[in-house]
Amino acid sequence: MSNNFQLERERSSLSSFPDSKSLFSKLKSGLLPYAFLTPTLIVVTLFFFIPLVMVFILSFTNLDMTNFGILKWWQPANWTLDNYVKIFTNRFFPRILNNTLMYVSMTLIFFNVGMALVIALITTNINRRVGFTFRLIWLMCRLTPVVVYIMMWKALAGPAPMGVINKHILGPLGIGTGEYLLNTNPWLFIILVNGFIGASFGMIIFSSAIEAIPKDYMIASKVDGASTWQTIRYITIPMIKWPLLFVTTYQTLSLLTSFEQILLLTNGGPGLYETEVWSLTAYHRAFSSYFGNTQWGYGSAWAVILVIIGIIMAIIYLRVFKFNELIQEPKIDQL
Amino acid sequence: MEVRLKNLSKHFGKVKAVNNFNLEINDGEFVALLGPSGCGKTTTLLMIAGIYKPTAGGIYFGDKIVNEVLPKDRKIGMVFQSYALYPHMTVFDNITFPLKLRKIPKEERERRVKEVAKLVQIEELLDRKPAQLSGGQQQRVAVCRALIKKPDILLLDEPLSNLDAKLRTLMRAELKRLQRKLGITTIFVTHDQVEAMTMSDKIALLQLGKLQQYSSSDELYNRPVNLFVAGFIGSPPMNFIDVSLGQSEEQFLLKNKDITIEIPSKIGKFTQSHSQDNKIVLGIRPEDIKIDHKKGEEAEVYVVEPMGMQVLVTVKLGNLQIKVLTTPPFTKKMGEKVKLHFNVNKIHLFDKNTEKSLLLN
Repeated sequence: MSNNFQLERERSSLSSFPDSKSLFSKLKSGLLPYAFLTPTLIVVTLFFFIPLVMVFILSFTNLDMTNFGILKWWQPANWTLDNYVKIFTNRFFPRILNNTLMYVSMTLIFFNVGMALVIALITTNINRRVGFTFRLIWLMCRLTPVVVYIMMWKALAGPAPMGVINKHILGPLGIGTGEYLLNTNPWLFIILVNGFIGASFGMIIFSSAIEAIPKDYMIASKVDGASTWQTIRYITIPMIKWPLLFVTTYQTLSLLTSFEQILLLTNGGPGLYETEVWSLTAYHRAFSSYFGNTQWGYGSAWAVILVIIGIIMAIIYLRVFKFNELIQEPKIDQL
Repeated sequence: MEVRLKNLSKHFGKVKAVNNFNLEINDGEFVALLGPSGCGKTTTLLMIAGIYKPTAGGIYFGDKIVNEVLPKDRKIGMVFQSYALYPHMTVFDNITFPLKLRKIPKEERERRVKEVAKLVQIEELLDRKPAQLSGGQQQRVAVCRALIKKPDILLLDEPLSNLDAKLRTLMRAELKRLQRKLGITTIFVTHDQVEAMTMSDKIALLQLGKLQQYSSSDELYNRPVNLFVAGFIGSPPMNFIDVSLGQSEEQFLLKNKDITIEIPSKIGKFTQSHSQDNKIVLGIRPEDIKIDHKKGEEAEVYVVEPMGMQVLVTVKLGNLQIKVLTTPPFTKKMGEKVKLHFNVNKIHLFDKNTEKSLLLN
């Protein structure tokens, strides 16, 4: 009885495969993957792709609050390059560009990649449990809501007797106690505040990459005569090249587009455009210009240039790290 | 360079990975550390390399204690089971890495690479990356990297385990020749008794962190000091049968309810005086039992396994299963009766409680 049943099943599964495949079933199997993709595609198109195109188009118009509903921004007749000219001839353009480059490169070099790598190397070379605990503590600032985190820093930087830094560190050293440190050293704080959070990302990626290196390599390099520093230089770092590329690229792009910490901390101040970075400018132009005049078109132009810079940076990184060489041809044939 | 281990111990928490290990290796000797996994052989090797620090005891190179000497200052070369070739470096860079670290000039590096590369025939592979090499080639590169420093001691950690059977036999012979040619004191870790027996001058057999026996392969095979050694060495393994010794007149008989074997009175007397409570384990190797003899113990053929050169026959004698190695042709079928003849001069007797040999010491 059960044997019969099995035979029947085999026969039926054979008959539907492969020669009796109808046009309908071919079509079905061809379209099925797309059917599964549809919900995601709809969401991505609606909330990402269409806005992207709109921002690109808007950047060629002068759409703002005053002509909203009047200007037909989608008509090519209304498109000009005025916004771009305005950006590059802006009196503060060199300052903003300079701020952005400094902010991204300093945070990246000293914290998001530099300190992340240092922490990862140290915590993987000491007692495992101690290293793990240290990394866990370092992650705390990432777990704190960003507004709370920034408010804490603002309080820390306040004048004595409220500001902890002034009262307990600078005061005893005799370096002055009365000033609001965000006014005197805004850049130092912006980089520290961003860096402390940013470093934790690279730290996790690097330390897991380092721990994934087979122990034999480390033993071999020790037997070969390498000091700890030489092992790091000749073995560890070349072996984590791929995560290094990933973190550098990813963090460059996220630093280029991040502005919320600066917005909360200094809002581009304290002096005129003193800490205004590119993405913050785009935000300010588009959403919070003075007199309620929100210049959507102009802000979009800033954003579009930022995206282009980001893409160019990513391409440069892939070249510098020789991305093609990192990916080896698979040894098995593709099925 | 002579190597001596004195009361060497290594504990990981409560686990005693190596326990009071004593060993003396003469200059130029090829010694195998043999044992099942987890016996402490690799731990011992890593202590000799300076990667692990001993919990107690000392490691001596010549007359010098090296417990506190860093790996780089120990003048050792090492080959790993995984080969541990640095994947981002070419073969040339891999081999010369130890020299580069010592800031030896490039011309000399090139000269010395050619020397060692010639020794193991990999001169044409120097520009390649490890991923472009076969297992056997990778292994040769690893050997080169270990040799280029002109080490006093060569440490091999299961170097043949990742090779296929054919290549393993080839490399076994090559490594042995190379070691003899260079005369470097070599310590070799393996779980494979064939590798250990074929290649080394002496074998240190370990179990659970303790040295069981340290002797030549011949001695290890023919005069095992305890049940573990007897059971570990030899493939197919030795047969063990629980018996007791009985004496009738001048005859000494090893007996249990299935068999009775008469043994020479010299062995009998010796055993009688050494055995505590007459609980004895009789050990006999499959090749020391003759089958199909006119007289002997009657047994039934249980399984026949032809292996080409020999035939491995498992027979049932009462409740006992005994493996017998015989030469082809073997015509008996499963279930047929055969007669067994034990070569009593080749038997081993062990005390069941202490597991120690009753015939040695």
